Amino acid sequence: MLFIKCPYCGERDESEFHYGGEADISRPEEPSKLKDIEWGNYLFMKKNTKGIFSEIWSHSSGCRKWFRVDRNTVTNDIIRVYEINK
Amino acid sequence: MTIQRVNKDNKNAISFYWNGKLLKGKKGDTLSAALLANNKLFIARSFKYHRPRGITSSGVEEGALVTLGKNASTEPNVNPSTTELYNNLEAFSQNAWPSLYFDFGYILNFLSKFFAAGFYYKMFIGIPPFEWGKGTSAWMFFEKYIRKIAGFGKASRQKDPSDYDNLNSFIDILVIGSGPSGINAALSASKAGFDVMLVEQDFELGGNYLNHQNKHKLNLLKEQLLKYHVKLKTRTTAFGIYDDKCVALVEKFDPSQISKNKIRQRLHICRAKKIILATGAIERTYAFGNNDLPGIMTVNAGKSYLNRYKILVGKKIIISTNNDSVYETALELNNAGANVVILDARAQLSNSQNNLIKNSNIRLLLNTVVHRALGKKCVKLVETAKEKNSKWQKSIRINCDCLLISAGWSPVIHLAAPHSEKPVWSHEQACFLPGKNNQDIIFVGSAAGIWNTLNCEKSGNIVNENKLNQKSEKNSVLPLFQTPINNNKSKNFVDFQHDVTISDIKLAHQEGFTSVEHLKRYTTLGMASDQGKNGNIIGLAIMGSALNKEINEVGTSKFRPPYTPVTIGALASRNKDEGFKLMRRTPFHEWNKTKNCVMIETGLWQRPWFYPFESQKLEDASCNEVKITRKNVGICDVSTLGKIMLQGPDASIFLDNIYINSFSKLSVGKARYGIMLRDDGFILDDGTVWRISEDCYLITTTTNQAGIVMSWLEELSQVRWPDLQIHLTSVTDQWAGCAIAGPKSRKVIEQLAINKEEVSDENLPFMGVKKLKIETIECLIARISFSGELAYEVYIPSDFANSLIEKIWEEASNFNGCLYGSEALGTMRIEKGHVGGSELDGRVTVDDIQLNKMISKKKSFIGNTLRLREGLIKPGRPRLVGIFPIDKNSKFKSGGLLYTSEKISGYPIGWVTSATYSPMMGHYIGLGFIENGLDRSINEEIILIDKLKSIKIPVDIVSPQMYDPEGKKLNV
Repeated sequence: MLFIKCPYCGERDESEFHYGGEADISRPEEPSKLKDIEWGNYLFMKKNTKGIFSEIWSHSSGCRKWFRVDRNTVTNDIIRVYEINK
Repeated sequence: MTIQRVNKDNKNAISFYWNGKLLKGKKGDTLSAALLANNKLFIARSFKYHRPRGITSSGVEEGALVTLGKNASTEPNVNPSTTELYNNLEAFSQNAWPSLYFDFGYILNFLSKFFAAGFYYKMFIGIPPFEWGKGTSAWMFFEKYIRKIAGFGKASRQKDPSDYDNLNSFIDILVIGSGPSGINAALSASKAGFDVMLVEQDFELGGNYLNHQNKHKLNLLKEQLLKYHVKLKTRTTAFGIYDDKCVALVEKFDPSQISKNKIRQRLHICRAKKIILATGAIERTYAFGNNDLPGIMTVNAGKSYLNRYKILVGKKIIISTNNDSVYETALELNNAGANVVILDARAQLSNSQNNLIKNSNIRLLLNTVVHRALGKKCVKLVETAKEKNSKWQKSIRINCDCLLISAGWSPVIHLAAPHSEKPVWSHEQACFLPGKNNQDIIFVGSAAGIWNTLNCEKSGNIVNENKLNQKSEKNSVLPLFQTPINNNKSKNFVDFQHDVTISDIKLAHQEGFTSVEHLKRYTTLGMASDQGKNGNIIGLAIMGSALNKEINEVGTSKFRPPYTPVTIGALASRNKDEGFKLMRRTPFHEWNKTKNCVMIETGLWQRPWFYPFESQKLEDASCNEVKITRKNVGICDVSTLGKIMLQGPDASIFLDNIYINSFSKLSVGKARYGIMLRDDGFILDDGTVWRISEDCYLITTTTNQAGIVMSWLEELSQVRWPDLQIHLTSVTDQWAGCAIAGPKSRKVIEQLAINKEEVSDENLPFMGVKKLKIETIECLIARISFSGELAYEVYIPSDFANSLIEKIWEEASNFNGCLYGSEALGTMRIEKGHVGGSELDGRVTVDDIQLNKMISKKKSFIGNTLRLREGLIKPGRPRLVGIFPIDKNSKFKSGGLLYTSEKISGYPIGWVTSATYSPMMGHYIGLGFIENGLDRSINEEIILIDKLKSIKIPVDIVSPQMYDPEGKKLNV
């Protein structure tokens, strides 16, 4: 089990958190103008990075805040934890 | 067989039962030790061939398994060599019928050719030359017989009467193993000021010190451990290390202290900053003919039984070795009165070993290994093989009553393996050494390939950083994995627990299995409860020689937790029975119970189902509730609906983004029904939104989706639209909700309101919302209806729920009202064609339920793009309809499939999602989806088929609004 440092609550057990997948997926400004394939890419096509990966987590059994984590997907080391907008 | 205790006093004697017979052991014995002291060496039958099995070790690598306890307390497949003896322990041999000594299953030993590696797989392919029995039918036939005779002990089908506990802890340094290196590591860390915990799987501290003749040093160290406040846990196995140095331990409590109602084991999750693995090493055997005969065990077992348990395992002992570790033991056995012969595979000995045995009458044969053991239920004779001019040939035979084997030592590197690079094969030491890790896991002692006790003690000094990078020392060992002469006449076992032999591995190789992971699964090597602690390396070596490769090229299969078997009970710990999941009760729960309410589980909720009058059944009670509600008034607990308070200047924009319909123009004091979609265009949830003030809304969700919707909205507000100024708060538990429905509901509300005019049709019109004081408590009231009647939802602050519901009920009773539960609620919403959870199953679009008129064309919202995908708008998609049986007496349930009478098999054209008996119609009705919905031709005959319930009836497709389609009753 990972030990994750929530930027708002401090170090807590992984079981308190929910994984939210890849960070930096921004919603298209005008969805109606996109083609199906572009929407499909936005919704379903996610990176599967080997190495350092930026992802979002939610402290769902705690402060319920979403935040960002940079994690090495090979070693599971957490390199950085920071607020969502930084 | 002549096993005996060296000291024959009667101190600390305890009794136990072996196969129902009373025997005596001593406190501090393991079950194996006590059985040996009673001359019970042959204790089990093997897994596949039912061969006699004896005690092979004194630790976790044991090859013989037993069953402990009876009835509900049965524990099968227990390792007797790690089981602590206690008064009145009951143990049984397993996999033998009718008795251990006379077992019918032994016939399989002679049919073993049919049960070689891959036997199960070959059964599926069929038996050559005609592939007789191909497919699964032959297997289905034989399976039950094979399962009966091949296998381990039988688990009880009764509920485990024991309790289990769990515990979480944090520690600076966790030391696993309390042998020479572990104790010293714990002490050095504790002296340096760290918080240290030392765990030991055995019931006594000391590890290999316990096998020494002189316990003086151990006693001194134990005193030190107490002095320096090291936390000590015996009977505690670290069975897995997980991410971020999270260690799973299972702690067994002293079995002599556990009375019936106490906790038996505890799952302990420990987070350490550093983990010291002082897990020691396991002595290996090697494969030779009949190497599974009782009386054959490891040299270390011989040493342990002599020095720790004071049991001499034989009078005429042969020791076969390839390394230096056995000489001290040989001398001790010799001094204890045994006649010892050493067979050493190596050509010469070092001076120190020679000096050790020089003055004894131990016979030493160099260049010699065991070729085959002979005997029936115990080893009697050993055939040796000798190397002459680099050729091995059969040599002399020697009589014996015990054969001890040491073919080298394997460091216990299991725990760190998931976090480390691959283990490294050391040719000089003939063992796998731990791979590198970046998890602050440090190996000390023989787990790191350090062999003599003094060096192990030194390696425990972990605080002195310079000593951390200790190199493992050179060990004089000659690799020895199997008898050097081909031996087809008898079985040469590699894995004692799973009956895997050399020929199985060779067969697997012949049949093309070259990867170790495949080899493992095909032969089941190392897949029994010991997970190959003894046999795996032998298997790898034999595979390597068949492939002409070194072991390091063959590699090892992955070590995975648990290190030793863990009971499911310990893993579940408190998460069983009432503790299995949370239980949510509505604020009205206690009050409901006083009204004879029957509850139903809905997710985590306990929700009122129906309120039977005396012993009424479900359907009678709920029909009654519907009738009274539709005639007078009914009250229903709707507290389980999700309630989310949305506040902030951008609240309207947020709602417009998530709902298909528009909310920015909803005026204060009004409510609106809304549907939200997922990004992929399917319906996520529906509910009402109440505008409390300019920038404050109350969102209600369905009971089932409440948590999902809340998380989804939070993610949207924090991640997708962080710039929107809004705030979301879940208020489900803060407000108790009750629906007051029926033509007389306004009259009830009028009695509750301070001023009747407040709730008149004008002041509280359909979809109106307002704050209403009942007694002195400010509540929220909305005129909304799920039942189709004139109806209100009243939300009461939870703390006042029980007192106000009493008041509401009092007024409703005056109008001959009733309480109704979720069953009647369901019936009424089906009659009205309102969709519920069974319709909105995540595969349904707004068009499917024909609410596309609600969709706002002036804005963009989540799901608007993908709901227009080709497949979702194509004509003919199944749409929501009502279903009437043509024969009004016929019954049907949800889950039935709809066909046209022309084609009543295969893929259906529709299905039933909800069904109920409708007291208003007087027959069964349903909701469902059917291709083209109501646009189907009227002349068509539709058949409802439910094969699970043997239903086949003709039905009519009708409008989903089956009751009061004009909605007149909303405004009475």
